[in-house]
Amino acid sequence: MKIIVCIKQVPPSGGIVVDETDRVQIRSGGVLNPCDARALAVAVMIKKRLGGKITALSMGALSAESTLRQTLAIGADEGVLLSDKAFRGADVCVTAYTLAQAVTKLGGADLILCGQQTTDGDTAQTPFSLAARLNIPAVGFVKAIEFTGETPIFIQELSGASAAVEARFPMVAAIGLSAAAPLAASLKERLDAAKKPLKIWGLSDMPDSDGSNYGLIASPTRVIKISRISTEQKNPPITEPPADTAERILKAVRAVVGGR
Amino acid sequence: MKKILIYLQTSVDGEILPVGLELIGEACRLAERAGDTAVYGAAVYGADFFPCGKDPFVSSKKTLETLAGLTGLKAVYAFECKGLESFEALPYAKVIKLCIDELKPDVFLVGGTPEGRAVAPTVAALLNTGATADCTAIDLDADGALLQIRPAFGGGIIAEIITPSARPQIATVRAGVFLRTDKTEGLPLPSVILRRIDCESGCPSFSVLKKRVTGLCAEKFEQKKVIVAIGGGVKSVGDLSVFEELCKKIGASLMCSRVVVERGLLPQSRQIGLSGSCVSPELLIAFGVSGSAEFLSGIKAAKRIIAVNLDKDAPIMKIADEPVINDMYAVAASLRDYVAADDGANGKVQK
Ligand SMILES: Cc1cc2nc3c(=O)[nH]c(=O)nc-3n(C[C@H](O)[C@H](O)[C@H](O)COP(=O)(O)OP(=O)(O)OC[C@H]3O[C@@H](n4cnc5c(N)ncnc54)[C@H](O)[C@@H]3O)c2cc1C
Repeated sequence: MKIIVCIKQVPPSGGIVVDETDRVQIRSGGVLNPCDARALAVAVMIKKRLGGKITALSMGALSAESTLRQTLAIGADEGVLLSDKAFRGADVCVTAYTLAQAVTKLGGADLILCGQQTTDGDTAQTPFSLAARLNIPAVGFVKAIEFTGETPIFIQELSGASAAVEARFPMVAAIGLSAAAPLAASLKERLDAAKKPLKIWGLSDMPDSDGSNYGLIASPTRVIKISRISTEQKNPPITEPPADTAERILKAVRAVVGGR
Repeated sequence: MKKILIYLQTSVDGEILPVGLELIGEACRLAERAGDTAVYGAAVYGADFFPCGKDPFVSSKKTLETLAGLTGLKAVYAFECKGLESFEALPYAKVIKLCIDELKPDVFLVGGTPEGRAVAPTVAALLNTGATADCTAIDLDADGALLQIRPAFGGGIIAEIITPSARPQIATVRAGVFLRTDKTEGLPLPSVILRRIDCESGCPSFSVLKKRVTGLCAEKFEQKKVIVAIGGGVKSVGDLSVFEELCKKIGASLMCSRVVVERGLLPQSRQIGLSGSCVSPELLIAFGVSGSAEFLSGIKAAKRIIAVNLDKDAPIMKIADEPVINDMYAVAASLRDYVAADDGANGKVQK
C-alpha cells in the first residue's frame, strides 16, 4: 500500500502576512495545517491495517521542512518538500499541477490523503483539483473512517445526507477535522524522525521542468487588488450591568419567537 | 454574446437546490447590467432517478417541468447519466465539461455545497482554468470579465480576483449570499436540452466508486429564527454548556466562528462565515465573536444583531444593532439563572 499524504505549513492562527506588491502570501514558518494532521492520522491508521509506506508531500518555502520533519515523527516514513522560487504564488489549479507532478515522480500512489482545507486558504479545492489532474476518483468532506474487513470506508458529507464510500485504489480522499484525532509524537519518535529521509525537489526535479507551467505566472487566477474593510460605527456601544444584557437578550428573543 | 452557465444541483427528489435559484437571480442581474449576456443552466441526473418503465432513459415529467419553469434562463441542459446515480466529483465534472465544450460559456457559477465545492475545482482542473471559492460578490463587465470578490488572508482584507485569459471563469458561491429573483414577467422561459450519456458501459473514464447514501445529516441550522453564535471567547468544552442550555430553552441554534471549530468544540457544520454557512436569522446573538471579515460575510442577512464583547473596538461592535460591552460569562451567568430557575415564572432575570 503506497500512501501519500499532502501536507501544508500554515501560519499560526491569525498570522497571515501578505506581500502588498504582488498580493502573494509571505511564507515564514508556521504549523502543520490542522486537517492535514488528521489526514496523517488516517494514513497511520490505514497503514497499521494494510501495511505499506507513507510519504508526506508538501509544497512550500524551505521553512516548511520543520513541519515535514514533524510529520516524520508522527508516522510518515519519508518526506518530500517541493520548494523553488518558480513555485511561488501558485493558485489552486497550479498547486495541484505541481503536486501531481511530484506524485508522478514518486511513481504514483494507491491512496492520496489530503486535509480537506487549510486555515490560510480555506478553499477546500486542492484535493479535487489534484485528483482531476491524476484522473483518479476523489472522495471529499470525509468526516469519519470505518473498515469493512480490510477495506476502508470513507463517510462523506453531502448536501443533507452522508454517503459511505468504499475505497477503490488509486484514489484521493480529503479528510475533515472530525475524521480522526491528530497524533502526537513521543521524544523517541522525534529523535528517530531526524534519521528518516527528507528530500527537497525543485523545478529541475519535476518531470515537466518548464518553469512557465508553475507558480504565479502559470496561475489562471490573479489577485488584482486587496483592500482593508473599514466600517462605520452603526450604533454606539452600550454599557450596562450583565443582568440587563441578559434581560435585553430575552426580550429580543421573545419579540421573535413570541411567548412570555 | 456572453454566456453564463450555472450548475443546478438537484436534491434526491429532483428539486433544484435553492442556491441554484439564487445564482440564477444574481446571474440575471449581472446579465442585465453587462448587456448582451445569456444565462444557461446544467443539471446532472442518474438514470435510476427517473421513474422509467423499461427504458432507463425515459425522463420524469415533473423534473422536465421544473427545468422548463426556470425563468431567466435561455436554455437548460439536463444530462441523464446512466451509472451516475449518486454524486461523484470526477464523472460529474466530465459531464459538465461536455456541456462547457459545447456551450463555451465565459462564466461558470456553482453553489457552494459539498458537491458544488467538489465539482468546481474538478471542472477547473479538467479545463486548466481557475476557480475562486466562496465569492461574496461578483461582477461582470461588458467584455465578459468576471470580478470575483471575497475576503482573503484573514485580518479584514478583501481581495478582488480575476481570471485574465483562461475560460470559463469559475466561482463558487455559498447558499444565502445572493437573493432569488421573484420577478418573472417579461423574462423568457428556457428550452430544455436533454442529453443522455451511458457512463456505465464502455466508458472507463466515467468509472465510479461504490457508494451508499447512509442517511440524512442531523439538524439544519440555517432555518432557525434565533441563532446564538459563540466565538473565540469560548476556550473549553466546559464553557459551552450554558450556551447549549440557553439555546435549548429559547429554541435557538447554537453556531460559532471558525476558531471554535478549530478548537474542536463544535462541528464544522455549525460554522458561520465565508467557509461556513450564511445565515439569515431574525435575531443573532454573538458572544465573544470579534467579527472578522470572514465571519461577517456569513451574517449579512441577519435582521437584528446583539453582540456581547469585552472589546468595544471589535469589528462586530461596529455593525451590531446592539453592541454591548460586557463579559459574556457574566451575561451567561444571569441567563443561566433564568434557564435553570424560571419555568413557571414570567421570564424575568433575577437581579
Ligand atoms: C481563508 C479564510 C477563511 C475563513 N473563514 C472563516 C469563516 O467562515 N468563519 C469564521 O468565523 N472565521 C473564518 N476565518 C477566520 C477569521 O479570520 C478569524 O480568525 C475568526 O473569525 C476569529 O474568530 P473569533 O472572532 O470568534 O475569535 P477571536 O479572534 O479570538 O476573537 C474573540 C473575541 O471575543 C472577545 N472576548 C474574549 N473573551 C471574552 C469574554 N469573556 N467576554 C466577551 N468577549 C470576549 C474578544 O474581545 C474578541 O473580540 C477564516 C480565515 C481565513 C484566512
